[in-house]
Amino acid sequence: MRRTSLMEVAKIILVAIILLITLFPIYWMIITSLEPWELVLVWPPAFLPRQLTIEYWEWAGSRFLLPLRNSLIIAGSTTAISVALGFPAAYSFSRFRIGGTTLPFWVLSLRFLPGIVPCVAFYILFRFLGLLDTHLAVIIAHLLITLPFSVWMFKVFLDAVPRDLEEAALVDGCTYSQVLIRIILPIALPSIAVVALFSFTWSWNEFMMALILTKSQAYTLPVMIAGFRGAGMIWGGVSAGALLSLIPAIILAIFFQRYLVAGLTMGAVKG
Amino acid sequence: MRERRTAYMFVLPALILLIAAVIFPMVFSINVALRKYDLRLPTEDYPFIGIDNFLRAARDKYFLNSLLITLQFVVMGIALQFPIGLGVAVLLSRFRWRRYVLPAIAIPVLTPPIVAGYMGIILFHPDGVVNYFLSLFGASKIPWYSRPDTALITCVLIDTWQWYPFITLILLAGILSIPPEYIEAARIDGASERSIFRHVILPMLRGVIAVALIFRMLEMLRVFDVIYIVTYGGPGTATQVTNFYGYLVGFHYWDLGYAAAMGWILVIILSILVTYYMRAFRVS
Repeated sequence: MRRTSLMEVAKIILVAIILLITLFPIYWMIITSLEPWELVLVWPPAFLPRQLTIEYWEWAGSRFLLPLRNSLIIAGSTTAISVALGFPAAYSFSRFRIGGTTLPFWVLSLRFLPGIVPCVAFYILFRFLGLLDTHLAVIIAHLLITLPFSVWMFKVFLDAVPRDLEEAALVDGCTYSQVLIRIILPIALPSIAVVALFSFTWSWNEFMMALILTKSQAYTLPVMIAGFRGAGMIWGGVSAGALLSLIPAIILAIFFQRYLVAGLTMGAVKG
Repeated sequence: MRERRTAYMFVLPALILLIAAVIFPMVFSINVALRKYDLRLPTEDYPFIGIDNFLRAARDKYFLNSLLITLQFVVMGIALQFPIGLGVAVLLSRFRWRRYVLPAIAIPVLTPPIVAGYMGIILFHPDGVVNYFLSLFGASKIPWYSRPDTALITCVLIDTWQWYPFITLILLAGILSIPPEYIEAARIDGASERSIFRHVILPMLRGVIAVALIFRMLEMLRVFDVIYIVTYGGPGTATQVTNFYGYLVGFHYWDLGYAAAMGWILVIILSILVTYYMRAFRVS
């Protein structure tokens, strides 16, 4: 008995250490954003703040507003389009078996395309169309990843939904569109939430394409944060901005824990 | 017949967009890779030069060096992330309050990589927290990301903070899906915890390990964000991975043709790896 309780204590200590290492960088960023600059880089570091200021949040509040708005517009539109077009397409792939067996591989391979390949193509295309530095350019570029992702995730989900209900409705004279909206959609709501949140987070976090396709108008939060790299980095203010960009991650981690594994592996592993 | 038509009606909008956003860029970037597409040239027409860009890459020592650095990044990353990820997964599988721990573990995976890199800059600063902890054990201050021999490992460590939970989450899902009777049966037969792990749990994890490793390997082969913000490929060319070198060539020196060619070489390497890997693990 004593041995087991000792094991329990050891486990708790180990888990505590892991949690500490995993969460410390975020805690440290919060401290950095709230403490006067002179106190942040002292040796030895002060692990509890000795003096608080909202100066850096005000600094970030004025500067990060535009990228925050851009990120919201781009990630929001990307998500809406991915779900609205991906869902019916996935329904078709699932029920009428269009696309065969090559589709999965195709979808998977897209996610691992080195960024430089689509970047070159999109840059030349949008330069030609005069769309550089617009929301639309980044949205289209992001759809390259989120749309195949959404089609694929919805297909994995719909494949698992039994067909009896739809068949009954079809016999009763419903059209396919009615079946899709009245019967499938309500069942699929959780999967829609998952696909939407993952698409949103992916677009929100994406850096390389947003960096290359924007300049002074449509740049997103990660581009803004990366812009402070080098000596001119103002740690407090950038930390405040970086914390803003963590919001979707935290929401997804806390409320959608259950679907995380399926989302991260594109359904290859079920949670 | 009505069925077929409906099917295509549902697929059509997504298909059109996929062709615009996916097929077109792919085909177009192959076209660019086969041309002297140099935006610095005062001309508007970019001559077709066949595979010259690809041949140039084969002789470009910076490009070959970038492949080597990418490889180092992947090997070091997997060597760190896999054991840590597996260890934490096993620990959490036997931890009673795991559902309160998991959301915290999941946050790094969902964090923008740029932000992870930014945290790394703060923590690995010469006067930062990491050096402080090391100094408690008597180590002297290390200028982590500003020295050629430690810059790459710094990026790997930041990547590890962000992605070990990915491996943990996947392997944990795998461990929890093993029917408990299997483990019980082995225990009744007198197997030690260690041999249960080696001969019961590990073999059943084969599939999920394969998935976790391939996702991680492919993601790391195209690493860009962390390198961009932490070291910008430097000092010198110490952390100039291929995707970053491609970015420099394409969007600093404006040689888009050559950049596209390098991207496609990376794609070819990735595809070969995936094919061999899938065969080795027999995953479909």
